[in-house]
Amino acid sequence: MTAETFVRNWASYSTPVALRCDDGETYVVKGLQPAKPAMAHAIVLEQVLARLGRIVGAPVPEVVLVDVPQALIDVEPEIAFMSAGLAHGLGLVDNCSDKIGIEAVTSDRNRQAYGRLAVLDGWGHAWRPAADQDAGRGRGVWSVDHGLFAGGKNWTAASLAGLPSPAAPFPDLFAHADQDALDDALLKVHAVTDDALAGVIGWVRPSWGVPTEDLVALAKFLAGRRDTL
Amino acid sequence: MPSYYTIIQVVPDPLTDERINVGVIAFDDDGHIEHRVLNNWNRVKAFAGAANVNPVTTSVHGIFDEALTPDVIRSMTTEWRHSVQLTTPRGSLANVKSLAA
Repeated sequence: MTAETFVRNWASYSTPVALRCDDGETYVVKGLQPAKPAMAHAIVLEQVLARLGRIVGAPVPEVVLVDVPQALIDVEPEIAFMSAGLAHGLGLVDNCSDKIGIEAVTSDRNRQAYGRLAVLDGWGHAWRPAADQDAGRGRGVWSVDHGLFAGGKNWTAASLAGLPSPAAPFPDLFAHADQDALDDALLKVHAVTDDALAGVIGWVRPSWGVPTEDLVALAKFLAGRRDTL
Repeated sequence: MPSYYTIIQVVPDPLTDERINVGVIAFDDDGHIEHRVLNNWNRVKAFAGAANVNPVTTSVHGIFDEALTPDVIRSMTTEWRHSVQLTTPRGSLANVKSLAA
């Protein structure tokens, strides 16, 4: 899909921007930034871990690639920092905040979400200071930021090899996790074949400039953790 | 042809700067202009107080009594600093009609 309209941005390292696209939906987009070379590796993690999250049934919004035209960048100064071309995108969940923390833990929906997120976090070696929570009625938890998995945006083949074995990187999630959802997510992880994993990595665009050997290392990293999780 | 939109906001107290969106104006540099404004102001009444709703409703609808041009809209976005304000125009590649829809 192609971005048509700038909606807003957020102040953070990756400076995500909300863009309304030609399918009528609004996506939160993270793209390459000439001033931040590490964004290439960061959006690889964003795209891959978000898709893996969907596979395990975690509460990850729709994952897409968004074409950001140069013409839009030219008319909107707020996105002048971005490069044109395909970027990582997630469906916008209105009224969310990452400042709420782990709460609404008695909701069945969230307990199942925490169970699946605990598995995703273990698989991808998450560093998750907080989960994004819908600040409206029901306070549903969502997982929308995956650039801090696998050691973060500066990951390399060597850094992946040095990460510890799968564990519970965020025990607070486990404390509230629904066991059935957690078990089901684990089954889904173990059902992901090497070919399926390669298919997920295949969403990474060559234009992002991440070396093939790094992508192979990421695939091996995820395959290895799948087998030991 | 790029287009732009600005959101019309009610700001009951400029000191606290809390605001609520009440409409949108879309325009392009060929002079195409479309707008959409709330039909139901109950939420604004709850936000701004009943006594303040009539004046701001009049101000908002008064925007469209003027001979609007892209330049007039842009000047409103920088000069209106009271209880009705317009956000900095944001860019789009969509046409003006769909942008205001």
